[in-house]
Formats: sequence, C-alpha cells, structure tokens
Amino acid sequence: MQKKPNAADGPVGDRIRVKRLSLGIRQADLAKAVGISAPYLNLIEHGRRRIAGRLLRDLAQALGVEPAHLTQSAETSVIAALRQAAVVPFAGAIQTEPAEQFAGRFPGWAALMIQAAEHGGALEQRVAALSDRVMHDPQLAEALHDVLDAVTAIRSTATILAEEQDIDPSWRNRFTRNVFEDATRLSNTAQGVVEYLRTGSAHAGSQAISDLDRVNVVMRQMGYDFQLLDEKGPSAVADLVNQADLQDHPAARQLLQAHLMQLAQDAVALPYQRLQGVTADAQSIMDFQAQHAVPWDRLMRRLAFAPARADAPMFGYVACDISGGFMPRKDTDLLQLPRAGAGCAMLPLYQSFLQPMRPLQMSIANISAPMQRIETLSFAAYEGPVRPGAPAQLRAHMLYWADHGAANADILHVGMSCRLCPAPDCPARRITSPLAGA
Amino acid sequence: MTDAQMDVGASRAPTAASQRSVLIIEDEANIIEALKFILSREGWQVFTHSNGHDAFDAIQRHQPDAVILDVMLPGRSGYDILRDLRAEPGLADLPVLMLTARGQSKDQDMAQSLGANLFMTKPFANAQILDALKQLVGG
Repeated sequence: MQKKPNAADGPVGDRIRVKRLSLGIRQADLAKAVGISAPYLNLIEHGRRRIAGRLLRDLAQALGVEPAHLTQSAETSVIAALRQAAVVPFAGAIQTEPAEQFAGRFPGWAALMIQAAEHGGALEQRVAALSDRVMHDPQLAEALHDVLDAVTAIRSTATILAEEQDIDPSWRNRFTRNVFEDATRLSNTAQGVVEYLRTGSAHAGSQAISDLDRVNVVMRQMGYDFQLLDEKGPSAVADLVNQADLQDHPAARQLLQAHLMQLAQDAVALPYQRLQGVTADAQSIMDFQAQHAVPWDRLMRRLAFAPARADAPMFGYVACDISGGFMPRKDTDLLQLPRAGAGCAMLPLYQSFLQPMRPLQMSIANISAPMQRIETLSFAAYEGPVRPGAPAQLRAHMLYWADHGAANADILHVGMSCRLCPAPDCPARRITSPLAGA
Repeated sequence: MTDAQMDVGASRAPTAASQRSVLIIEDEANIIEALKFILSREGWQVFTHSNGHDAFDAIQRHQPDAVILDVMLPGRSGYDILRDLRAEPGLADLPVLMLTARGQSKDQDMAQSLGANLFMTKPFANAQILDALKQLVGG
C-alpha cells in the first residue's frame, strides 16, 4: 500500500534534492548508488514517499552528509524568520509546511526574503521615528511613501510565496523576482533617505515647521558655535542673528535674538574658564552649582552651549514652560524630541515640575535605543514673582548626556511622542500608537 | 493598464456566473501583481488600473462589484476619484476600499467623509484585503 504524502517528508526530500543538485549528481546516478529506481527517488525528493532507516543512511552517505543533516530541521531559524516575514499581527501565523518547503527548496530566495523583511521592519521603525518630521516635509514624505509601498509589496508577495503550496513555477519565479526588485528599491530608497537626512540640514531652513523649529535648525546649522558671545558678549548677538537665514521669518529672528541674548548674558555671568572642572557627571555638576550658587538654568545652558572644545563633554539641553511648550534647545543624537507638539510625558523635564526648585537627577534610555544610558539633570524654576491668586509661571530645564554605564531593565524608557512610541503599557500614554505592542 | 482574469492555477472558489469582480486602482506594479494573484485565487475577477487620470472611466467601463482604490495615484488622487464616484448616480453605492501609505487619522477621516466604505493602511496583510472585500460585497 502506498503511503500518503506526508508534508513532514517534504523538507527531507527537498534537502536531498538540494544537496544532490549542489553536488551535480544526476537523480538516476544517486538512485543507482543507493539501490533504488530513479522514479522512486523522484517521489522521495518531492515528499511523496517517507524515508527513514537504512535508505536514509545510504542516501546521506552517498551525498556525503550525516543523516541528521537531511532530517533535522536545520533551517529552523530560517523557517521561523521566513514565517515571521510573512506574518502580520492580525493575519495570524502561516502554515508551517509551506514555509519549510519554501526554505528547503529555495534557500537563497528564502534568505533574501528574510533579509528584505528585516530590512523592511527596520525601515518601518525608521518611518515611525521620522514620522514627526514626515508630516511636515513633503520631500521626505514622498520617500517614505515609497518605502511603505515597497514594504507592502514585499510583505504581500512574501506571504504568497510562503503560504501558497501549488504556485506555478513561472509565477513563483515572477514573485521572487518582484521581491528582489522591491528589496533593491527599498535599499536604494533607504540610502536616499539617509543621505537626505544627512545633508538635509542644508535645506532645512525652508522645511522648518515652525518658528521655534527654524531657530533650532539655524542653531544646528551653526554647529552651536557661539564663541563670539564669549568673546564679545551681547554686542555679538546682532551679528550672529544676521548670519542666520531668517530674513523672511521675523518671529523666528526675534526668538533667536532673545535666545542668543540669554546665552550672551550667561557667558558674561559665568565665563567658561570657571566651568573647566565640571565633568559629565551629575555629582560634579551638582557640586559646582552648590559651590558657586549659579542658577540652574544658566549652568545648564552654559554647559550645553559653551564654546566647543575637543575635550568638552557633549551636553544636550531642552527647556519648556509649564504648558510643555519647548524653548530653543540644543539637540544631540542621544535623545529624540518632537519638532512640534508635546514630548514624552515620562521625560524628567516634565517630572521636575512636580518638585520646583529642586534638581532632579534621573537616568533614562530611549525606547528605540534601550542600551544607551542617558543621564539627566532637570530643574524647574519660577519665572518672575509669584503672586497670590495669579498663575505661577515655571520653566523646566533639562541637561542630558551619554552615560557609558550599561542601561538595565529598570531604567526609565522615554519615547519621542505617544504617537510614535512602541511602549505597550505606558501609564502616560495619551493617544494610541500604531507601534504600541509591536 | 487593464487585465482580464489571470492564470494563477486552480481557483479555490467556484467560478460561476455570479463571480464577483474587483477593480484595483493602484500605481505600484508589484502590489497589483500580488493582489491580483491572491484575489484571482479566491475566485475574484480582477481588473487593474494604474493611474488616476482616467480611473473613473475604468470604473465605468468595468462596472466592478468593488473597487480597491489607492489614495496616492499619478494624475488624480484617490480622494478626487472617490468624490466623483459618489456624485455619479449609477456608481454612488459602489463599495470602495481605500488604501494609503499614510496612517494619519486625517486621511481616514477624509476617506470616510468622502464615502469610502473601508480604509486600510499599507503595509497590509493579504488576509485583510480578502476579509475586507468579503465584508464589502459578501461571499
């Protein structure tokens, strides 16, 4: 009695066939070597006959491999990754057998598809991280639209290749070609996006989304190099403002002017020489502040915007008023902050409003880079006199820098904004995110 | 570009006189190809069109049971096409599934306000498309 084809035999047959072809052995020759007919070997290779015992050992010997090589699910990780490539949360898992069959029969294409899917996943994360900018940047939006189209095509095609058992070979070839094309397109688009982001600052003035953003962009373009303020004090402000490409944006000019004036006053009150002993260490900064009784906001701005020196630690700085609205800031690669709108409510910056006039030291990590520990010092201070019955005006300031200690699981994770944050159970979540729980 | 039923091997659904048809209006060739494949396999008669210029004409010509309509199309946007569709007496009730690469709520709001029956963001799962069409026209 003929045994029914067993799907579990399929991969074994596939591996025999793949190995035989890789060795350049004809089916008839292999069959003869192990004492069976070529048609019978053909049935084995196509999963229509079960194989075990002596015949398996003989075939393995003839192919120069261990029997386990033919029977073990050596491609478990490949299959799992392949299955992952074809899965989306609400579509459920695909059947195991077709994925194994596909991986066994087309190992190269399977690897390519996994790579493309992983690449797509990474790009999806990048899309999310950049979405804040995308919403206001048509050029980038178009590029990322292209990314999503390519990811869509790959996901859809990968699902077909992994799930469908009886695809005509011409269609299979067509789809694998499509995956290759889309993977190539993804790669090219990704490179284009990276290049755009790398060089985009040259054009960022025209792409800024608000006057505050314009000021931040201009300061970034200037490399936060305000040495002139240390040399000449407030008289240098006008020159620096004139250097900025803000002629058509009077409000942004005014904001930049006010910010630079603040920095100039900081420079006069706290010359950089006095900061020489301060290191990128919370205790060192707190000791300095206690010893010199320097206002916290001034100390933070000085450390962040002081003239660049090779040996100076890289500090980032951000401030906001009690509404959460940001002030001009110094960005670094460490922390992602939205260009517009509210930031992550978990930021120590906001937490400091709960304890005005007391420095708050907290270690955090970006949820997108959880292994990079970031040290922060925050301080919320009253602005102007506090009058009974009148709303108190506070501003919070946060200085942050890289901490080279390893982040642990207990560290506070912050995102860029709710919409773009994948944290599944964040108590501070305001709005749902398509990434939450991803 | 317009294609008739493609040869994708055995259909899983019986092809009868009552076979449902769908028009895919999408400019990404490989997305079209994948969608055509999975829909044809499920017994759908699939027509495709790849630009916004004369998409409305294509809808009138094919008279499909449902339309899968991408938002971002060369020539005219899916929104414009949908607006025309809903203003045309004979096509005002045609089920439309809108696709977009953007997932902003304003896109969904726009699609709904213009009369889209369903809205889906890319990347989607093949099963989602099939389920959505079943939801739109039954079967």
